[in-house]
Amino acid sequence: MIQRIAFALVAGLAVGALIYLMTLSQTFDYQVHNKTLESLRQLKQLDSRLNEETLRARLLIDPDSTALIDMLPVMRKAVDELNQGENALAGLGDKPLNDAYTAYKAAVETKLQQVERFETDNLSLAESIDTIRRAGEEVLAALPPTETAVRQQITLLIKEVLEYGLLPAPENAEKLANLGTEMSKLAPTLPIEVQLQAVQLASRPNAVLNQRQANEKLLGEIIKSPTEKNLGLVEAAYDAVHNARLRQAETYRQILIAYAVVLLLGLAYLGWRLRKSFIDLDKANRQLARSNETLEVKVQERTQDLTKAYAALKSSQAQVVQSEKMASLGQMVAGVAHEINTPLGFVRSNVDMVGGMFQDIKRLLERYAHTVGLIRAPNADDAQIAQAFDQLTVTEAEVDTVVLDEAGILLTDSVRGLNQINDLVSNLKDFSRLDRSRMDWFDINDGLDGTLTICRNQLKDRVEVLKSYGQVPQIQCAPSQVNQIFLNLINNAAQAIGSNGGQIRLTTRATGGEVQIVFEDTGCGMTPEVMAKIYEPFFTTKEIGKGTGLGLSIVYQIIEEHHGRIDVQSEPGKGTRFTVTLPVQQQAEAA
Amino acid sequence: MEATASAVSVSEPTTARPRLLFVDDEESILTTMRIMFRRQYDVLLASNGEQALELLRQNDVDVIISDQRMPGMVGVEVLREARKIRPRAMRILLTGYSDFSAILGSINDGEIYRFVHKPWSNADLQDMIGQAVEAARKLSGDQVRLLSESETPAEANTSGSQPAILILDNDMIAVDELKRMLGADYHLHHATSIAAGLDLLDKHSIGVLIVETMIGGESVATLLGLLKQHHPQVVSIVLTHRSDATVAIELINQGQIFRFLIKPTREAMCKRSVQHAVQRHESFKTNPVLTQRFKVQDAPAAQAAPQGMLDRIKNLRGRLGNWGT
Repeated sequence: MIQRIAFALVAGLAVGALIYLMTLSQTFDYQVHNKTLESLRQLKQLDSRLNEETLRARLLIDPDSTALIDMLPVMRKAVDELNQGENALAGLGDKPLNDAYTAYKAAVETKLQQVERFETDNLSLAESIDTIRRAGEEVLAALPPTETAVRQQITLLIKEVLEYGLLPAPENAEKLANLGTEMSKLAPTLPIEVQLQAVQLASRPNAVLNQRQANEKLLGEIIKSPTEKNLGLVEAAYDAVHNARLRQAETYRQILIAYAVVLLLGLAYLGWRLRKSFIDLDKANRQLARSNETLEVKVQERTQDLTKAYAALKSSQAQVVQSEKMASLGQMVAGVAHEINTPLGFVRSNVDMVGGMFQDIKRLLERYAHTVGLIRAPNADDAQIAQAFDQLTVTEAEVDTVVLDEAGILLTDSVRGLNQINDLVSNLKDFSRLDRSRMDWFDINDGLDGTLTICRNQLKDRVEVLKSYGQVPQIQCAPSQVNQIFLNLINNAAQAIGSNGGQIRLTTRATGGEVQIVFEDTGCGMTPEVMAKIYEPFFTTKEIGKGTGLGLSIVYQIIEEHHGRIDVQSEPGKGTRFTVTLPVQQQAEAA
Repeated sequence: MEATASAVSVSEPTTARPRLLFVDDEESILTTMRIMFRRQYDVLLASNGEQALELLRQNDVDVIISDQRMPGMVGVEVLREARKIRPRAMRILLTGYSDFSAILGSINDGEIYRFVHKPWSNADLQDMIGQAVEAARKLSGDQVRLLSESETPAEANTSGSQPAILILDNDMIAVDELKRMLGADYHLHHATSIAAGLDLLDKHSIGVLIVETMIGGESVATLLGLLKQHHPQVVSIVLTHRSDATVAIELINQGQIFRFLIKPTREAMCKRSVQHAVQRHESFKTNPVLTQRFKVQDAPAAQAAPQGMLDRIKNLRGRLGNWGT
């Protein structure tokens, strides 16, 4: 998860860097650049035109023309535009450029103001010249036609003024000045009505000259105005900035290219890896397809193996069951052997002793017989009889009559012992019928009794056996196997009871087509956890070596084979109850 | 079955009648024993271990005869406890079922004097009881205590010379193992046949014998029996593959073997057994009267022993000493 986030971050950064570099390498908007260049060029043109118009205006060709004045706002606007909006030079942030621009703007402003003044001056000059002309014409009009010399003078004056107005050459200036002087000399000679005007007229040319000079001076300044130069500086500065930016952009582009190459390499590498894993995937897929094909075959083989193994397992299970039976049989036989040895022991001893006692009694009886015989005999000798009596007394003393009682006890015991042996042997015969699945009719009450006899030693003093046998029909079963069930459950019950002593209750009853045998004990009981596992093979609660753990699993199997069921209830510390249910009749398939 | 508690209090064994204690859960056995022995002896009866031990606490007895298979305490347990209460009493185990591990335990711990099979022969049983009583009365309780290993833990090699040990076995793996385990502490001899063994017994002062049950096809029972009869201070340890109860019982009865060990034996067990055997031998040498307690049965095999062997054993020189019966 973290890997993924990290990867996403790195990718984002890479792309961001790419975009950043891209933007850096393209901060160059050519449109803007061109517009700026255009503006600069325009300004240059305007400046030239301004100069032209100014010169034209000087010539007083068309005094009413407003062309020059009209240019002023246009120029101002153009200059301002240079620093406005997208194209704003200030936006480039270059100090030299900004300074150049500021200087330029100031110079332009100065120039324009000068031009304005010039225009104004020009107008007044034109005015003045016009006044002179009118005055002259008036004078001429007022003058008698006789004064031709004066007329000539005035006409010349007017002409000169007009010429000077157009072409203020220095010789004209002199001429005009002279004419003026002349006029003033002439003036007093003139008729009174025109004298004033003539005097005025005489003074005018000087004024015009002066005006003109001032105008010329102003014009000179205008022409000399450094606007062009400043514009050039602005251009240069702008160029510098532009070039710097070009170079920067170039650098960034190179970085971008390098970066892009690196990214591409990285991507190529990833791509290669991807391709590789695709190849692997393909290979794996093909292998998978192949294994899939062989899988079926293998499964088939395995199934066969399994079937064989299962068959083998089943047969060895049967063997295990058999050997467990044999083992438990062995244990039981050993127990029975001991059982038999005990009564055999005392019976033999008793018979031996009774034999000895018999000898003693025989001796005593012989003595009695002898003595009585002597008494009976007609030719009895008292001495003999006395001797016989003495001997008899001796023998009597020797033979303790308690011997008779004792012999009786011993013989009774012996009979009992022999019966025990008889029972054991016959039970052994019953029990050891090893033909497994031979079905036969069997009385379960008898079976229980027989099993109890075999277990007697185990149960003896510790365990009290209570029998509640009901009326039960014989059942069809394999008797040796069912006996084994009984032996197992009774043994387990006895072991659960342990050395503390307790009870086992055996109950039999018939229900419908079945019989039930209940084995209850007051032993240690089982916890639910243990109860869940008791039929598992090799599960045992006994110590190691003390039990195979197969007993109940075999019991379970036997019951299953008989189509019966077994239930168990238990309470730890209280006891356990096993209920075995078996059908009275087996179905026809009893082997 | 109640115990016939005769009002005999703890009394001097030598003056009163010998007293026997029978322990068996089968009434009829107790009955037959009582009737068989009441003429000659005082007979006490118990039907289980607890009763038996209680009787022992209150009465000194000469011989205890107990059944092995009883509910509650089994015979060997009863005899083990009995030894603590009345060490002087001889202990006999009645066994109808060869529970081998119990028997083995009883040999190696409880010092069973004799084993009796059920069913027994009355004549044999009576003889055995007679011998037992005699053996019991040869020693006092104090003398018997001398024999108990717990009383003499490290008394071992005070007499200066360590007795030599004879290993009689042709299983070379086992022999090498024994040599490895014991060679450092004891002087070991080795023979692979009974004849060779006798040669060694002749030449050296051998105190302890470690034998297999069969050497070169011959059973060692005879040898052991004869040795015990004529040279009772030799202590025998049987070390064998055969975990056969019958063999063990035979060797106890006929050879009064000291220990019965099964191969392969654990080193600690082996060393301890040998050490105790040596101590026993030392006790015998110091107090020859102690050997009276360990007489063997005159088994028919002993009488039928090849005359050569009998003679050889009788005439064994060396420092075995000569304690003929």
